[in-house]
Amino acid sequence: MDKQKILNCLSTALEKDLSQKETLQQIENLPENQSMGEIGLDSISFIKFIVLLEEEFEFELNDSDLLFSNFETLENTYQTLSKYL
Amino acid sequence: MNTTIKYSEVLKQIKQKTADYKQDITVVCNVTLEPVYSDYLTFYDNSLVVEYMDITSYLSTQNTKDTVVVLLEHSGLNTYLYDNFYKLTKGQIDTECEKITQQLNTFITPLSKNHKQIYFFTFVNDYGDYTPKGQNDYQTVITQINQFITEQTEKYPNIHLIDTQKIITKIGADNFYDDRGIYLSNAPYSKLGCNALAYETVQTLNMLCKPQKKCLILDCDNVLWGGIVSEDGIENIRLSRQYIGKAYRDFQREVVKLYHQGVIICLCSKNDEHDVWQVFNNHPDMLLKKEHITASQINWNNKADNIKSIADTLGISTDSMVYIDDSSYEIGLINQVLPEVTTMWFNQEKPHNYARTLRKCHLFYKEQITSDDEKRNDFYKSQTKRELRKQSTTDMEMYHRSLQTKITIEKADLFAIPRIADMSQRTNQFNLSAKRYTQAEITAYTQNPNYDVLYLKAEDIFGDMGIVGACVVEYRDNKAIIEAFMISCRVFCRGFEDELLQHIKKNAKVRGCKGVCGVYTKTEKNKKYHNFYADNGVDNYE
Repeated sequence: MDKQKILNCLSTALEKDLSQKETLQQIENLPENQSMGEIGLDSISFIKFIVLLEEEFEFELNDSDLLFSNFETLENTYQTLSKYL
Repeated sequence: MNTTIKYSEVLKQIKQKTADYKQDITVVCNVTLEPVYSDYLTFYDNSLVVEYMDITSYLSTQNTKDTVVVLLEHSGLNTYLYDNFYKLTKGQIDTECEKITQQLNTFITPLSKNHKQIYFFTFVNDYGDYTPKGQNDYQTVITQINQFITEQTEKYPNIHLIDTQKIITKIGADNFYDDRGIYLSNAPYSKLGCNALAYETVQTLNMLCKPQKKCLILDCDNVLWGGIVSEDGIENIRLSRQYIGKAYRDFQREVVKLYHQGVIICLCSKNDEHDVWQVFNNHPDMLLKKEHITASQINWNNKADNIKSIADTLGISTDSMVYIDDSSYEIGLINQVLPEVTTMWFNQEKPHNYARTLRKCHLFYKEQITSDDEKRNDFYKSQTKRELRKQSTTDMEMYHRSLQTKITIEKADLFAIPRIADMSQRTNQFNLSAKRYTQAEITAYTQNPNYDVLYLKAEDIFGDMGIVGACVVEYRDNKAIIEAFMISCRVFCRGFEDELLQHIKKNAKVRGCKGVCGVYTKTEKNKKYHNFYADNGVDNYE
């Protein structure tokens, strides 16, 4: 699993006023078990994140995995994605 | 439309590009369009700033944005009808349909009043159903609602339809919807669907808001026909009713269509003039005729100078011109020297693309073809004759007298309204307040007793020019305020503006006004006339 690519997708989805580099830094500073809501992951950026992930890795998440709670923290995210990547 | 672009690339590009101005629009919808549709919208036009609302919140707030886009899914309008469709009788279905149209009606009236332009996506069936023979077909419901909103667009000229069906035909119904999105966030459209919807939104918005082009200038060899006439000879050029000559013939057909819409057609070609006209006069498969051509520059001078000289002869500005050539050198030259001219490069290896490229370019789109449009080409042709006569007459006044010009000034009537609105959109140089009006706005002024909308039409020995001047005057506090004053660039320097202004002054006097003042808004194009009011004893209205 290419974690860096996942983080890139996440930062593109979260990017607002900050540059990609700054956004990436923010993500990397966040402990893996802490909620990503703190760095601005909301329902809209969540959709962006999913669309970007599926485009990047060319797969489609199962309906049962497609819950916000499965992408709450970076830890969750890696775990959810592990069966696909 | 860019069908292959990745979403990540879209996000990257919209972050890089920032527009120098912003255009606020409201999208009224009953489904979720964020974030994908929004991102594609910004991708196609980065000046757009979008706000989403559902019908209820729209109706309960005071929204005065210029532009509103309405995108509604039929299933959300009457869930009872949708869920129970096969249980209902024909009569019950009609009653439920009635409820939908009533609901839309309460919504459409404020829409048309509060905004300048409204874009309404038509309703489509979602293609999931198979209707057994003899059963009621849900499609009839869709047809009925569409019929209703089509009627509304007739009633309110500022409501425009966007054909959703056309979008689906282009990308396919299976690619348009995304069922997972419906359950996830009530977002029914796929990435490609959002892309197509956004593209169509921007296209339609631009078509109606941006000034349209007036003049199409064509190169000849490898554009109007295949091959080089001076080298290959008239009998060997590719222009026929079969492959591949038919492609050129079909392209010419599109050009002739534009001619009939009032677009001025000109030629600019490095060629032997005699050879070109020989093709026009003698080739059996030429659809474009000499009489369609208003001005031409067929010589060996550089094309930028030639295009400039066409602009001078016609008295129109170069930014209203479109130039087509197969030579990337010539296109590059024009782009560099006259960047305001829109250029289209035609790949001479792919003439099969010519006709469709011109048809799809949307540069000459018109909301409505007025009878003046058809006259416009005749006008410019006689203008070239007038220009010749002017050169041979030393005394301008004598010249004008020799033209036996007849001017009529009237209050705007139903026939004049479309032309006046059209003129306000097209006129830049002698448009003192630089205001643009829709037909609906002009209509409203004609019905308001405190306003006068006047137009000026003229004819001379060369022909009927139609409506070439117009103004909007408001009478307020014992004053006549000229809100808009425009004269078509075709008739500059002929004293028409003085006639119109005199008429306004006379009207003001009759009404007992104590003064006349005029609104002047300076723009890059109308600055030549910034003293017009002062020179004629009219105060500038602040």
